[in-house]
Amino acid sequence: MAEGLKVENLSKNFGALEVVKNLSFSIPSEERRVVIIGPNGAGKTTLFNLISGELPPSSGSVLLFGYDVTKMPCYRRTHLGLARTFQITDLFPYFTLMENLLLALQAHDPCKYQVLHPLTRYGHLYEKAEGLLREMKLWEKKDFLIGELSHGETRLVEILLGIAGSPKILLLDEPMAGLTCSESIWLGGIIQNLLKDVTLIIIEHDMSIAFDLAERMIVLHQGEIVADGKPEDIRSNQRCREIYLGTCYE
Amino acid sequence: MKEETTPRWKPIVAATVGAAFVLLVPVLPNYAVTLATSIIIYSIYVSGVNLLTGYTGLVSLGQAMFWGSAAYCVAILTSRGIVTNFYLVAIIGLFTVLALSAFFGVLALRVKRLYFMIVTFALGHVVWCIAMYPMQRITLGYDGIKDIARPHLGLSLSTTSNVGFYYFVLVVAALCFTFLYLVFKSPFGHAIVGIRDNEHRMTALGYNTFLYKYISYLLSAVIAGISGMLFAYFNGYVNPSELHWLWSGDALMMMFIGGIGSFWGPLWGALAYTGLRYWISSYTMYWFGIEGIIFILVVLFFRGGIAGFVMNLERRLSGRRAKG
Amino acid sequence: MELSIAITQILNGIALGMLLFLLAAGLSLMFGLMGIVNLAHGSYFMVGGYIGLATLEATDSFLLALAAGAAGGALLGFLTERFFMRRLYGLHSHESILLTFALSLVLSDISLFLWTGTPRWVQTPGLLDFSLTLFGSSYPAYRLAIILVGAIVFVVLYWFQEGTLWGAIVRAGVDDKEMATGLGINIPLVFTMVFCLGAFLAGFGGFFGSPILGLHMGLDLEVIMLALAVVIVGGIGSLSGCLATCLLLGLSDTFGKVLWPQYASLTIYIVVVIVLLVKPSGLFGRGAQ
Repeated sequence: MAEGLKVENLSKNFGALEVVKNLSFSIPSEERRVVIIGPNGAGKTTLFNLISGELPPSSGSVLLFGYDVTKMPCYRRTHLGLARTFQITDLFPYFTLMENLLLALQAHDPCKYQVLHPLTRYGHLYEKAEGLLREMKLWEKKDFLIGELSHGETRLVEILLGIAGSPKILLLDEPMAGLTCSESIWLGGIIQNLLKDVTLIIIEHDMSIAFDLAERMIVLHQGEIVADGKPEDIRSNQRCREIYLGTCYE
Repeated sequence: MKEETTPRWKPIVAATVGAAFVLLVPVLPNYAVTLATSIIIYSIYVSGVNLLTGYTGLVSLGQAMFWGSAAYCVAILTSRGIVTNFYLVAIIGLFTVLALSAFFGVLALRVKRLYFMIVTFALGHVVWCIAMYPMQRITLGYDGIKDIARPHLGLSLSTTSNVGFYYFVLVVAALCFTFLYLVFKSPFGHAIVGIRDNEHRMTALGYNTFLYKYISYLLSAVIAGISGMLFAYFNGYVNPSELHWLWSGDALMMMFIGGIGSFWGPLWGALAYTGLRYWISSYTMYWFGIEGIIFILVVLFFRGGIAGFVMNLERRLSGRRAKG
Repeated sequence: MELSIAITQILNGIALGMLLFLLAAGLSLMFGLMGIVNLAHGSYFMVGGYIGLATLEATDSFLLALAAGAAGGALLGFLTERFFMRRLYGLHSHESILLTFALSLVLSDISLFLWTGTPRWVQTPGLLDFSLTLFGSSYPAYRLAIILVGAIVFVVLYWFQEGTLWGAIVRAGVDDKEMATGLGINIPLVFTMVFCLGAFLAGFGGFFGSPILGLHMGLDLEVIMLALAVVIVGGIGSLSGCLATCLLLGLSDTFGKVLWPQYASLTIYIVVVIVLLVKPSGLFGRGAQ
């Protein structure tokens, strides 16, 4: 089992408020779709922030592919093979779709510090971008400003920016946030079919989507892991039912 | 949809303006030549500020310290004959500015936004204070340094005449603007705009945003230094007001008036500022108040500055043409 | 330094600190509540002083002049808030700095036009035109009056902030604007009132301090730089911290000017840089911006 993501005794406090309490779990690189669920305030997004490096932990450590990245800044973890998307769409609103994607691709290319040669010189970036856009059927909209895209399309662009660097682990924070039912099904299909070589760790609120996507589920409650295992086992887990007060998917 | 077509008349206008800068100026009277020279020198200064503020999104109230330090280098070395070779003076001046910005950049970039502005303001003020008093024997404090002779270029162009110096400044400006043009089109240039618009995402994408901001700060300082040196030779006299934060503020004002984040904004801004100052000062002494009013109007009502105004005009004209 | 000279300088420093407090309290509150650094605050100080002077020359009443200066300041503050700051809320904070800076240039030139650049000195009012003997040396009563008035203003502001509903509202607004609005508090009205109060104090301070500071062009820039240093070094959110920092800076500036005149401004601003880099929220500040 190759090392993927490992979290050891991870805690995060904001003053007296303990948001993440002594979390430990391991996700080997072979795993494909791990879904993290839990009621509001369970600490899911904070956990993502700790893994991606946006927040320093109060104690504990984060290991990526065997390296202790606890003290490593955000951008360096990306180069190890980690990427993430955000619950609230966080793109470059005044750039076109193509330019957004080029920025994401450029980050992993040695040309990114080039001061004298124009970006257009680096055709391989444009080719990669075209490939990704065509795959997602967004090529016709490459010159659209982000503000001109539909919400569903922007959620897709969020994911595009995430996979642009060919990450080994992708953190998806509520990818379906704000989408309609049909849009969610569409995006779910894309996630299932296209992202086959990446370990996906997904935060999801919607139970049906969560159970649909997951090969493994981690249930978080008040900063602690309450259950961790196959979806069927979670479904019949008594504690899990208690937490959701019966709203757990039957 | 983003428009890509360049109207046909644009290159013609650009060529005409370019030709005017090169050919028309020697024919003009003396005061016009000196005015044009100062406009171009200021536009270089503001273009450096534009790189830092308009393109990278860092608002600094301390750019005058780079203009002024370089100017003082020229003044001190030249007026006392310590170094007579112009190219050596230029190298020393640029090295000074680079050293200052390398050190201050590390300090200032530890904080963000408003605090960055205040730190750069404070650092600039500290430098001004140092030039005024502790270093008074070298800088001659409040009185300033005069008798700065024009540079010997070692070419057939003599800079002692107004026209000769004008061409020298024009060439330097062309080099600077060309360099900036390349920077803005480069991957680095795209990255700094990304940092300006959404630094958080840039970090998540894998960019070392500190390094980009730092390089931008250094480049901006060097450009300010180049323009400061040109000014010292142009003016023949340097005093502490070249280091004062009011001059940093003026640079920001010029940038806003010209159009923040636009390529030719600095030139527009320098033109408007210098032209208006020259014209209005001949009628009244209340130039600062009027400058303040102009700036307020621009920030409140003409947010794109002159460049934005021109772009809107273009759009309306071409829109009308499409209909007719 | 002899003891009597030292004591004189200490009292001078405290008096200056009190005048600074009149300025910095408003600035600090504006910064805390609205995230705006109002560089025109120094102009309210100076213009308030000039308005007071004009009133004094017209009516010969020091009290009336004080009232006029304070009212003038408040009016300027109201106009600034109503016509400029409203448009800026939600936009970049650096634009507020530049805008208020531009405004201070305008006000400065208007003052130049109305009152010319000749420095003016206001006579200490007859009532306070005597000296007290303290610790073996005589000390002008007016400066002691400044210290007294400053202390009274601090107490009133403190009571207002901690002991009244209005104060609680302002504190709530500083802490969490959105939440306060959600509770039905009319935040725009609170902003306007805070602005006016701050400007009122500044205008008052401008005239009240004129017998010792004088009135001259450039006064606005001098005082705003000190007040800015106070807000940065002292931090926001603590009134007593603000006062403490004002006294500290008042003393440093006074002693600085006596002991090493050329380095006074330099040392203050080196301290500013150090504080900004080590503890951006200031010495007494509660939470970073």
